[in-house]
Amino acid sequence: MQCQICNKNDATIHLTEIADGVRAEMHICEHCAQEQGIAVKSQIPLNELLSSLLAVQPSDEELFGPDEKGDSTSCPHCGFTLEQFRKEAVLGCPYDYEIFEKPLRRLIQKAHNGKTTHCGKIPSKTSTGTKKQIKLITLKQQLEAAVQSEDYEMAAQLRDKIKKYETKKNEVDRSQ
Amino acid sequence: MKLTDLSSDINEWFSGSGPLADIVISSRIRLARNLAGYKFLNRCSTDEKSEILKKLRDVLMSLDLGDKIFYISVDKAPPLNRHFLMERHLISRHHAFGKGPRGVVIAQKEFFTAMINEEDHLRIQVLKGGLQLSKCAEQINHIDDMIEKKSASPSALDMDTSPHVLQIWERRFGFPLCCICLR
Repeated sequence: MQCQICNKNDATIHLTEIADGVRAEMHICEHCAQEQGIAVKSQIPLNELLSSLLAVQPSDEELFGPDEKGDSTSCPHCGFTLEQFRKEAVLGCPYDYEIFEKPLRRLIQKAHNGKTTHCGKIPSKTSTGTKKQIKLITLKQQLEAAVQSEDYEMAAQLRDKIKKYETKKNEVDRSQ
Repeated sequence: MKLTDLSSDINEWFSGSGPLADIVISSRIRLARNLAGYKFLNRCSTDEKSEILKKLRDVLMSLDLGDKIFYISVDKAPPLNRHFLMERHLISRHHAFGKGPRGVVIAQKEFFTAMINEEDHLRIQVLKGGLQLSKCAEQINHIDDMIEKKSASPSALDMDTSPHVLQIWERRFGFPLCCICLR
C-alpha cells in the first residue's frame, strides 16, 4: 500500500480516527507522518503512559477519592507531593507508598486488578511468619480467581490447601 | 568484548530456535528492583546515581551466569552504539537517551541484560528464543536470588526488610518501584 500523501513510499503507519461516529482511515509513510507532526513511538515508558492517562483525569477527587481533594501533604524523606505525582506519574521514594497509601490505594487497585497486597516473590531472607502470611494471601487470591472463572475443581483443591495451611499455622502459633 | 563482536552475531533469542519458534519469535521477562537507603531515581542527585551505579555494577559483574558478561557505560557511549543496543532489545529507549550516570551489563549471548539507573535503580531481563516464558521466569528468579545474596547493605527502611537485603521489599507492596503500575 502506498502512502496517501506522497504516493511514493510504502505506507507503514495506519491511522483510524472515529469522530462523531464517522470513521476515517489514513495510510501514510513514516516521513510524511513526521512532516504532519504525527509522532510515532515504538516504546512508550509506562510512567509516560500513566502520566498521559492521569492528565485526562478531571480532578483529584476522581483520581484519588473524595477525601483527598487538594491534599498538600509532602513526604518528609523526598519532598514528594500528590500534585507532583499527578504531573510525573512516578513516586519519589519507597516511603511514599506508606505516606500516600490512602490516596494511592484507588490507583494501585486499578493498576493491579483490584488487588492492593503483594502476592509475588518474597526475598529469601524474609522471616518465616511473613512468608507464610504471603503464601496464605496468594492462595486466597487464587481461590477467588478460580471461583470467578467457575473452575470449581481447582477452587476445591485450593480451599483444602488453605484449610490445611491455616490449621498448620495455628498449631505452630499455639506451640510458640 | 566490543559491540562490533555482538553486531557480527545473531543473538541467541533471534536465531529461530526454541519451542514454537515458527510462531513465537522470543520470550522475555523483566524484573525491576530498587536499592534500600536511596530515593527513587527521579529524586536522586547525580552523585547518588553514581553511587548506585557503582554498587550495582560491582554486584552484577561478580555474578556467575555461565557466560561472559561485560559492562557498557551508556551515558558515555556514542549515540550509534546506544541505538544499536536499543535495536537489539538490550536497553530501552528511556535508558538509551535518558540523563545521568547509567550503564548496562550484558551477557555475551545476550540472554541476559541488566540496565542500571533506567527508570528504577535496576532492571534485569532474560530473553529466550521461541515460547519459553517458564524457563525465562526460572532463570531470572535464580539471577535475582544471586543478586540478593551478593548484596549486603543495611536497609534504611523501617519496614519488614531484612538488614542483609540490598533491595527493598515490603510485605504489603512487594518490591516498591517508582511507577505504581509495576511491582
